[in-house]
Amino acid sequence: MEDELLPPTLQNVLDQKTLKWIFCGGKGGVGKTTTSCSLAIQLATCRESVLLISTDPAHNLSDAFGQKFSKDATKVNGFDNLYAMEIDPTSSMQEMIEQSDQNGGAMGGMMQDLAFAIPGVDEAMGFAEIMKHVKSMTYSVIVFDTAPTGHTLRFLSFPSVLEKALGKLSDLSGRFGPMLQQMSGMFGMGQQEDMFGRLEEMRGTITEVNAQFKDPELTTFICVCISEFLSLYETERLVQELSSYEIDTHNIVVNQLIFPKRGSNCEQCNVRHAMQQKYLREAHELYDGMFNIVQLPLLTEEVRGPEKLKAFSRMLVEPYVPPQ
Amino acid sequence: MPSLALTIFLLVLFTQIISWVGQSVLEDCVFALYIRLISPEPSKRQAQLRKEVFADKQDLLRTSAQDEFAKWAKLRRKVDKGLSELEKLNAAISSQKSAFSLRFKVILWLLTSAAPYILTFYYRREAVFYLPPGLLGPLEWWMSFPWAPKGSVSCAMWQFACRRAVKTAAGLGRELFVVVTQRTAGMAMPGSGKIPVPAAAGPKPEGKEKTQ
Repeated sequence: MEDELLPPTLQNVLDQKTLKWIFCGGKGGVGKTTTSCSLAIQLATCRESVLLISTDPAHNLSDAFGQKFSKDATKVNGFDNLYAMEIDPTSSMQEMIEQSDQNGGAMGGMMQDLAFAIPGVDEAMGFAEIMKHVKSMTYSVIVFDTAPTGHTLRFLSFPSVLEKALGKLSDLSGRFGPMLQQMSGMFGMGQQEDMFGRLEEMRGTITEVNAQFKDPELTTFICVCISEFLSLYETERLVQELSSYEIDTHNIVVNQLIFPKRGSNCEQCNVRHAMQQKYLREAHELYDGMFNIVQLPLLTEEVRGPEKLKAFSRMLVEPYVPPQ
Repeated sequence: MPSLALTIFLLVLFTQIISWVGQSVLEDCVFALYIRLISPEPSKRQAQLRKEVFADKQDLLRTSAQDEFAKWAKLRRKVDKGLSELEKLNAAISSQKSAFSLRFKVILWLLTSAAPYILTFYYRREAVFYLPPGLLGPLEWWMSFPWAPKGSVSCAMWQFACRRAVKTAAGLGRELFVVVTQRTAGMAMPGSGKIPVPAAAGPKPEGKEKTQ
């Protein structure tokens, strides 16, 4: 068992030069943003250019780097080849709806209701839109903070579901299109085509994105968790879900580990340390052999600002040794 | 031609028996037999898998997720895997069954609905047997209806007669059975009613008997 243990670092991600998409996922508050920022910093040392994207509406990147980011890729202060951007995946959808509301009228609204009645489809489309947008840029690797949720992943990895749904809609438009056009001509509306044209376009994008997602050479998923029961439980579920979607994942980051000083009489720290070690053992028992399990300590200070992040990111490649 | 008469009678009997048993019941029985004889692997595997998944699930319930997370998660994976496999197997078996059901229905239809017609049509000019002349007088032509030689019984008529006979026999049998069971029940009732009645509870059984 000992010799087949995978190294407890993210060096494998840095070494795999073919990787194009890296996702950092996990439940809230486990340190996804810190991990993805650190990973992006480490990647910046060995790749040409790195883009860090946050799709979280709460936007933590600005917080972490202490710098305001926007919808466009902005260079991060203190780095030459690290860029960051913050997008709201639903906003692009919102734009699309507003746009067609202006020229589609009531009928267009009905069609949209039909199209977006499919759960998760708006998110998936927004996400696909982002991917399309990002693909036109030239970065060697793209790190996603706040990974897409289960719904989105489902659509992105099973475009057949979406394809079927959208295919039905475009079939509908083929059948009722002429009638609608006549009607809208009567009521002075128009441009039904626009809506379906965009839907078709989206479908193409999603299919393409899916092909890249299922390729372990191009995409990997890093699960971030803390050493607690619920977090571990969610991680196990995430791992199972990802494997059912055929998305590669072979790294688990265990964050916020407490290492009390020897002889410390802090009761809470010692109890918590014991609990964390227990779940860490369980995690090792469960995932050893398939996953690199990276351990990160809980620091006594907030990890904010480029310098601190840089220092923190060293621990992704050099295993943290608790002070004795 | 006693063999023709016998064939028709047996065919009619067979049809009647199937209609009494019920097609779906028969189909289930034959399918169970078919599975056992032709392809026993999937159903065996299904039973085995069901047992395994059940055992694993019991194990999972006994394992504390908090205390032994690794063991628990591994068990859960096993259960999930088993369940998905079971689902696939169930789908395969049910599709096999529907294919079987179609074939079975066609065969049954051929035997019970098509065969009598074909038989009567094929032997339409043959006599099943001859009646003693003058037995039915002017109704002789009715017995040889439609094309059998004069003075004989035609296939259609014989089939008709057989069906009536089988149905009547069945009805008689059923009635006899009902009468017999009622009588035995009626004999048992008062006997069993009298024994446990204590002297104090006199009026009760009387009421009971009245309702009967």
